[in-house]
Amino acid sequence: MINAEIISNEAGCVVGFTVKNHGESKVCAAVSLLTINTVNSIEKLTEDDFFCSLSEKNAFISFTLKNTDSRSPEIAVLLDALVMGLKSVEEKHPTEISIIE
Amino acid sequence: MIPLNLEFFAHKKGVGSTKNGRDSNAKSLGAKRADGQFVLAGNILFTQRGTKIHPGNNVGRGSNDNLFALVDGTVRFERKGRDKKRVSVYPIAE
Repeated sequence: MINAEIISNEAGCVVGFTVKNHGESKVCAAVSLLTINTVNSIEKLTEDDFFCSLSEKNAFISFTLKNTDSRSPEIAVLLDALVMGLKSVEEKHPTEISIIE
Repeated sequence: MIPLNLEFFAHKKGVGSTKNGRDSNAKSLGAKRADGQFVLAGNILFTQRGTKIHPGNNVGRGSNDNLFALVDGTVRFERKGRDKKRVSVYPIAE
């Protein structure tokens, strides 16, 4: 089962996430696409600095904004879209992914 | 940029099994007596598969190709022809 942990600041805004463990093929492809594309989009489409560590062997991605107090509009949309996407996957495949906020 | 891999969170493929990895116990073949050593009749001189060493004088060959002494005496490893070897036992002169 894939475990996703959403990291929010005091204001309740999403400022990071950690996704780890293995999943069934369809769910794994969806989660892989959502998380990797979010990180790549933030890197390419925004100016915000962030920390990201990943290990394919251990199926692990961790992402956190450097400045967690405030988010640019672009970052807000990308991170909130990620959370929305992960939740819709969890809704359809509750036994394959669990989200902790 | 992270390369997009849709199997990033997939179960890693199990390592394939191998058809190898079996072996029999060591049989410790080879010489059991040294050249010039005194042996008794019946002592095994050399264990082998096939005739790596051929039986010479006063030496018998068992069904499992082992070479053994037929008389008491001294062991001699000798050449046989151009590229073969043999082992003989020579009784000690009285």
